[in-house]
Amino acid sequence: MPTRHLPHRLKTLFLLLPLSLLAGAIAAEPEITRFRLENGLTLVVVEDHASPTFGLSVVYGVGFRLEPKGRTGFAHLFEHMMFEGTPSAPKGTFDRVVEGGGGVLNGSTRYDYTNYISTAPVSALEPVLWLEADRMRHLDFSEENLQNQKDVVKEEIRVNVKNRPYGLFFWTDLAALAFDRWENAHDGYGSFGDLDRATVEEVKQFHDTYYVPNNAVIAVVGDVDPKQVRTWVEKYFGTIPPGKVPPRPDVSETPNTAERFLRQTDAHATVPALAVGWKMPPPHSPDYFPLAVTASLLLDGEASLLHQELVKQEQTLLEISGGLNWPLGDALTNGGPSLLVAFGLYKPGKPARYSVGVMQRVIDELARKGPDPRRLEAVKTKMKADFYKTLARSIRRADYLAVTQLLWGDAAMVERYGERIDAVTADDVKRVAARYLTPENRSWIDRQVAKGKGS
Amino acid sequence: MKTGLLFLLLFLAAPLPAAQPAPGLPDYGPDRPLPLPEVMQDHLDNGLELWLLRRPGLPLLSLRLAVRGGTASDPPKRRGISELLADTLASGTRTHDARQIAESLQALGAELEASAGDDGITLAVTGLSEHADSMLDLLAEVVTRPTFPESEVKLAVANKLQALKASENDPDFMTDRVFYRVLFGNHPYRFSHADEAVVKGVTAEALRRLHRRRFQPGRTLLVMVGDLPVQQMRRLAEHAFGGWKAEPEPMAEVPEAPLIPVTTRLQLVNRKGSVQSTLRAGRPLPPASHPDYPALMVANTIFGGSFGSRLTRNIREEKGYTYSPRSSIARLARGGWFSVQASVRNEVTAATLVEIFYELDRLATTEPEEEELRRAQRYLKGIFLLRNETPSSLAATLAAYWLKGLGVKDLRAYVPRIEAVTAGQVKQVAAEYLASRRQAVVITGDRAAVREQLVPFAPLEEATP
Repeated sequence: MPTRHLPHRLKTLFLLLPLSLLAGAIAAEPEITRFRLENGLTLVVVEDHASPTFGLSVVYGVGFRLEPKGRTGFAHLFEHMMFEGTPSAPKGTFDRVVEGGGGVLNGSTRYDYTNYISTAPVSALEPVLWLEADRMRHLDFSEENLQNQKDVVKEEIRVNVKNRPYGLFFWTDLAALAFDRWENAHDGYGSFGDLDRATVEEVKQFHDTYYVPNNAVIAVVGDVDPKQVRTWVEKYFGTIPPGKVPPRPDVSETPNTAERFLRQTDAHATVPALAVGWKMPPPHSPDYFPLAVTASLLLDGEASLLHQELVKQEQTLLEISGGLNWPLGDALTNGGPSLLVAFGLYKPGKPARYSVGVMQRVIDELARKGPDPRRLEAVKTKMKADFYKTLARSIRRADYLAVTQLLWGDAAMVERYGERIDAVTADDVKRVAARYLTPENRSWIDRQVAKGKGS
Repeated sequence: MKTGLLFLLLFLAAPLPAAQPAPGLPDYGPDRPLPLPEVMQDHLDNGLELWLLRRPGLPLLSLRLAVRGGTASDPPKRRGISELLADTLASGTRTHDARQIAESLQALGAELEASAGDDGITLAVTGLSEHADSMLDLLAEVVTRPTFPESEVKLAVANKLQALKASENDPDFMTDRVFYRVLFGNHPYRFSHADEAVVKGVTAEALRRLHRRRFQPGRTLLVMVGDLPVQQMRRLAEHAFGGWKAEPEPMAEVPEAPLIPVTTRLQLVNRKGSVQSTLRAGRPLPPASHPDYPALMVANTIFGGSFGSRLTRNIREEKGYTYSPRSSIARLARGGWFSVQASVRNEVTAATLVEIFYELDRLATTEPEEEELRRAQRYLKGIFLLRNETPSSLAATLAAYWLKGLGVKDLRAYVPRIEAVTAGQVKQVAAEYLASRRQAVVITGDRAAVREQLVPFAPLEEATP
């Protein structure tokens, strides 16, 4: 087993170069400073002196998609283990340092990445960077911690899935129905059986394989000096050796050619629900941002076409929500196949199929006539404004920078999001609605109430 | 719990040596002085209060309008009608229908959120500051000239009834209804969700009447936070709201809430097939202005109000009983409450309750360690800053303070008050408010699976939501 302790000779060998020098011509983005350490770790820094605080995100390029077969839920269980201490900083140290520094921390697992985020007054930045480097280097791989976090994760699954009406079926069950490849279709929360079978050895292996500097991006936003941040990152992360990240398997999917449908019974719900998902092309497709705009036209807020038609006109749905890569993320935070999802609770009187038919009617009209130009302009304004509002929190801004650097190879995607949205035309919307939002590419679930629960 | 913000030129406490047992871990750096933005407090001739604050940076503007009088001021037989008022305010005015309003907001990059709380009704709009005038005009139109169209009210009522039905078997919903009833008895703060009968009885005419009575400029605050000079904010507010006429009508004052729960007997809410027990323990607290709050907030942070708290370490990180245990403090104009919550697998229901009681009583009987106290204080000061980081969160804090009867001076005093709390005071407020014998307890779970375990806590009462 390779140890996570570092051979001393490496300590003097790292080099730090601005990423732009390594990568050649990257468009100048003066607000964003990027460096890449010799061990492959990428650092993104944005200065913002509005508040004497920082936002930090450390993102690793592994999520549900790449977890081992037969170990559903492992990437997320592993994320929990990252908070369980290391040989140098025992369990509880991380929380004490961040909270004692006046901040908060969290982590989350998604399809293509796992993030570790924190925010605090800037006086806490150096010790937090030290702690992040420490857990990138090694963990306390103990049986006791693993058993403890298996219990905690099972309670998380009970509270969010097994004991709650609807239980996130519009994520897990819909993905299982729509996708063909195991990587995309399996339950990212995991089965209790798979969680039980996870071993300390597997935790170690996963850390060795994926939690290496060349598979990670760090972003810092706030009241900081980029040179100082770079010095700290060099000092604490520079001695961590790179790993050999396995080549990414092919996880691509093509649109489905026949509708998929599932009827389920909900053990807790008292009102039935439906969820529809259309398979989307990968992020680098020219159709991807047009689909993000189309999703907002259809689903974002009270002015959206589906809200107006189904909640206000037809009145068959109590509410409707959804979007591209919903509910776990958005267009920018996805690195593979995804779904455009619509989820709603439906009212008595009309079957679920009726509402799904109305959805398709609205979409077909959009594909035929294109959007009203005023609505298209308005929805673009809304998308950009919402994005600004999100970036107003430095922890979210840091996370977007780190995630886009990891998934798109370019943190400046955060700056260019507006351009991508603005570039979408009415013809683009027509084209992608006709191509992807079809009955054949549609998977949907009618989630009915169990006998005796409804009226 | 909303706290306040960083108006003071303040220094966080001296650096705390970071956790001892990590060799090489650097200390915290020197704390930086916090900036001191000024709230301009003013009012229009019709009595509308203005709290204006410039926040340079992102091109955003947040508006927050708060009207005194929420569900606690609803007539007892119509408690919750305020929620429908909030739901339908933006569903039509003399010049625009619901769809036009929604589309105008979309074009401004904004959303309008209206909600009713115990003490007031709040409307929030955040959009691009370049559209400041349109945002204000739209907010003023919705606030001062709503028409409550029959068809929209009918739909809102039908949807609210259906939403209530959809919540019926949600464990948090079920627990809430019993918990607040046990905490507050017949006091209006018992409200958590409207009763079906109340919702059914709501008409457009009733909403129009309530709107006329409740929405008075003299009982309203407008908060503006964003990237605009305050003088310009004031002009925009004058233009949008200057013509709003006052028709003063007295509003009955909400009585002060009781400090003792109706019962401390354990309330068991049966939820067949539940694979977890949803536990809630808590009690009422004094009104928001009470001087015990700074010490209570520190005590809550140490007990269960943060991830590094005693409760989380105990029942999550040591025992693995639960995913997200937490405790919180809510302050209201005429009362408040403390609550602890945890969702745990059926088998450890009673065991969790024992640990909650143990941690409450430990804090009520022994002083916290100095390091633990200082960590909690630094935590509260830091998150005070972080929670008011964005224009919309800052505006929300300001409006919430005002509704609770607190002022800008209380915001300024927040950090010094937290810093002044001593270990002795923490123990004292914990003994007074947090000791286990003073807590009401509600457990929502599968009776057949948990009842036997709960025998040591007898007598139990079975409650229905």
